[in-house]
Amino acid sequence: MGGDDFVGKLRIKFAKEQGDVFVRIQNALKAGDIKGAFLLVHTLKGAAGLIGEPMLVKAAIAAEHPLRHGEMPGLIVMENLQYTLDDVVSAIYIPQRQEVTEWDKAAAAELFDGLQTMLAESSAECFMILDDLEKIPETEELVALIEKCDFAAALDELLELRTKLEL
Amino acid sequence: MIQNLNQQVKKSRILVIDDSPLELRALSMILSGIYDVKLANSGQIGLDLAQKFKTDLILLDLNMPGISGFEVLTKLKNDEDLADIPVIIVTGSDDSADEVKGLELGAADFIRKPIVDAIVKLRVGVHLQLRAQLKLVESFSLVDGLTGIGNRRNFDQTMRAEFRRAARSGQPLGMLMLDIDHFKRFNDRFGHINGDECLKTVAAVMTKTANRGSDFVFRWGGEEFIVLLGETPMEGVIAVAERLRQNIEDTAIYCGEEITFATVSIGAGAIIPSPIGTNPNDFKEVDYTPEIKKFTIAVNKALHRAKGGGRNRVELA
Repeated sequence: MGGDDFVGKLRIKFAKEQGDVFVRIQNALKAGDIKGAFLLVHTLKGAAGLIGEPMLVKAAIAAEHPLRHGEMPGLIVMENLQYTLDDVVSAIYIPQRQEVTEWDKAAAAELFDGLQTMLAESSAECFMILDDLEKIPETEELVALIEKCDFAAALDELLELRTKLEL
Repeated sequence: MIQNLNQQVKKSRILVIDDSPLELRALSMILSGIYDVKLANSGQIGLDLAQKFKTDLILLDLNMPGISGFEVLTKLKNDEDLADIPVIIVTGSDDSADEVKGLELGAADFIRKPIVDAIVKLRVGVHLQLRAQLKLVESFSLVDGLTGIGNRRNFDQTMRAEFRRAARSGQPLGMLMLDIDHFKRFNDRFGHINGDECLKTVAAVMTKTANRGSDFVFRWGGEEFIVLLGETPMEGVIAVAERLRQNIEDTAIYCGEEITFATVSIGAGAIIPSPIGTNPNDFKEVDYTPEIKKFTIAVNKALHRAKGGGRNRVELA
């Protein structure tokens, strides 16, 4: 689906979002939360399909099936899921955020104005300005919250940053 | 007409409800350039956004922690204000029982994950077109043929919706009832064709005067009209009523070679409907019919006082 840039962005997001999912699945199973583990595996399956990883989709389906019926997946199924996930994630290069040395305060204030409205309205447009946002110092948490689509928390963070950066 | 429909479809607002930020991001990347896309990462946030923003279509995930997709769908379909929004379920489930259940609950369609951008765009486009066509047909049945403003049926629907909205927000809802003074005499003197001209002129002045997004104008029947003023306290209602009365008095009505003027009597009122319960979803279950009737009668009585008190005036309920 989509172009290379589109899939590339999704793969990076996949690695950030799903990189630790196996640990979360295991924790859920240890706590006896079969439904929680099912939801995590189900989401992983969808995400793997989205970035075009059929082996991982199959591994997730194998784990999802018993969980859907309230049963624990077998050891081999879980090991296969873990190794397949590791293979996929380790093959994805996550670019490191550049350190911000110079930034335009007026442009940042304008960007924050627009972002504030977008977040208040839960608008998907806020994804389009993430690259520009990363050029402003101390926006790591804000970017992370937007990527998680937690717009209410992102709005709080934005308002705090405005005060802190005097924007 | 078709071009207008297409433009309307392009301005559509789509709400995507999915607990996976990755899926939300993917769907927003597919749809953002074409539509206004809002995102919710839980069922509850999705329901809140659907109530807050006028939404034309919802893409809904089924398996979510907290409120599941089926629960969201049920709540949407039980809500008079939201029930007609087409919901497309986007799911990784290959269980046909889920598909049957979703369709039985009122889903318009299904899209299987992993999503394919062309399929998403085409299915969304088809359902938005259908909705726009349905809205167009509906609008014909809600407009007064002579004046072009809302008809009685439109008023009944809008009044119920605005009453619920006011109950939810705690903001007052204003209402004006207007009656053209001595309209029978006008018809006798200038004839019914010019009488129609008078009705059209009054409707046009009303539309111009009550022109905020939250204002609605209707022909109640005969020479009676209604204005609903959303989020307007009594002082605002009085100000609009007085301005409307004055604007109508000042507007010329062309009757062939002659120019004449009309006046109106106005009953005015404002109400904050009584909320029941503390959960916002409780408002859905409340039948406001008796309260609406009581409010309408009170404003109507004020209108009769305005007529009895000498006409061309505003009386308060």
